[in-house]
Amino acid sequence: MTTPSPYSPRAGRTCPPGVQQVVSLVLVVHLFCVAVALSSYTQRSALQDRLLDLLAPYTRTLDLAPTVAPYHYTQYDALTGDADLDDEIYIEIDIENAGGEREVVRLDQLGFGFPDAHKRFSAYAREMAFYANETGAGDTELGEFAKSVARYALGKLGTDVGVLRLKRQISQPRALVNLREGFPQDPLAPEYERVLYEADILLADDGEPQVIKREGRGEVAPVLSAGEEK
Amino acid sequence: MSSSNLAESRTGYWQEFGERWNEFWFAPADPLPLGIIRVFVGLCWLLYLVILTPDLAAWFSAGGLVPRDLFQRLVLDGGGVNEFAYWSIFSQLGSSGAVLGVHVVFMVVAVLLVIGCFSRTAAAVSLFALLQYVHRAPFVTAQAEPVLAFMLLYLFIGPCGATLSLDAWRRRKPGSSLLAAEPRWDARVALRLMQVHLAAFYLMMAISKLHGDVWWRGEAIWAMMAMVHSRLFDWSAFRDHPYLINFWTHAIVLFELTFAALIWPRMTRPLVLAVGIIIWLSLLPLSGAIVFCLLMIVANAAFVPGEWWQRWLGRFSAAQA
Repeated sequence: MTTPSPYSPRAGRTCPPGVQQVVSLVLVVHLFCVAVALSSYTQRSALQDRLLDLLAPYTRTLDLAPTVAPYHYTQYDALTGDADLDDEIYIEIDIENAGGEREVVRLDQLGFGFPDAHKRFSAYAREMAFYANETGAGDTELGEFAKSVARYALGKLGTDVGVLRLKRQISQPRALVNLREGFPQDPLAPEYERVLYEADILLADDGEPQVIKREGRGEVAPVLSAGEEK
Repeated sequence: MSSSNLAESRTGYWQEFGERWNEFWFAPADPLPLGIIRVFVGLCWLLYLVILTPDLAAWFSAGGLVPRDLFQRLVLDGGGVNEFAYWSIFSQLGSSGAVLGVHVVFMVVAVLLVIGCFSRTAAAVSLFALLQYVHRAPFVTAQAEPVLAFMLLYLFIGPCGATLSLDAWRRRKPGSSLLAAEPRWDARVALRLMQVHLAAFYLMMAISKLHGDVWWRGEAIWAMMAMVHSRLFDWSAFRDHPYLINFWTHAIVLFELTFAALIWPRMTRPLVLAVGIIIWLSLLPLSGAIVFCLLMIVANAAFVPGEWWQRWLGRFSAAQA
């Protein structure tokens, strides 16, 4: 028995030559779109930007577009959806419960709590943090976010008034000897938190959410990220 | 070299290229790997939907965290093309009841995909369904969605229901096996697309990581461990094992960087696939990205040849008999 040549026809259902040509062309176009989308993920040239715009109807529809498709743990940009290796960002709601006691609930704790479900809340907080800056340029978007959170969270918690805080949780360095002065060993201590946005939220009589931004931010000690060791 | 020889040599080159291209993309292939991938991608898809169920109203209803005004401002105002690209059935529905109804229909489709009932249609509808969730709130998608999208697309392109499916069971002749099916060219196209896309995906992940100092310093694994609010376990004990953390971090980058090259030669492929399973299983409890990690293991199976599956599953079914 002889070994068939690498290019000899094999048994099975083969592709008619005419179809093969059309499929080849489609494959080349599709793989070109994939290559442009994947190669434009971290940094891109003006040409790649232009190509992404041109291919957007295809790549965005199929969730290939790098602007919205977060890939995997790269720390490319601090506030994009893929910055999972940066400090944690989360939303918390501060309310007075039925017993008159103060209760602080993280937004993700109102959800299912499964790890994958938690990621959505984390991505949501990061998107909100993207607009939180000192210039106040993103205040309109922040207001929209805060209203959505107010409607959802206050409704779930069964109260009409609360305080929304968007926070950054600074990660602790691996070696505790590298802790910056004033930072305790407990990674959950308040020193590790930084408030990015704070607003009073309430539900009006008609159920519509209202948001009043607090200007004085409760900032704490300077950021020390996990990798930023002495 | 005379001009006629030169012309002949050029013709020979293009002919050789064409033959190699056709062999790579169109030589009939065993559809069994597609059947296996269909079952496991279907299970990941089902898991994705199950996990989403309790938070459905939060993400997709009009009164949830992404109401229409916010969606309009963040997504649709980004350009005219977004109106078309980010169309979603969930944007048209207001009440959480209607959203739940559509979600349940999509879960039924996921079950059909797993059991292989109208497999290709189920794969196409599953892709459509996944995109409805993605398009409704694209900025809250995580790592799993882009992988799930291309795997479902390629399952739809190939004969994913030719084996290990209800479709195959309905069509089978007496005495034939659910594992056996005629080799087909479209199975080859689908498997090759999975392989090429996945190899490019790994390369992109590796290159992206090389932009981050934390990966070069070998501290990326610690960065995941140090996330006090989102980590699944308390990893503080690893604080005293810096070399282990460095090794783990470097191993991930090295694996992703070399995957695109070493997965193709037959000699290195088993090693790469074995390391892949270890890497993704190690990342699963660490990252909490359960669907994504499982999906990457399943996607790697596109590189396991049909003959291997036939041998392994044949031996398994013989042992059962």
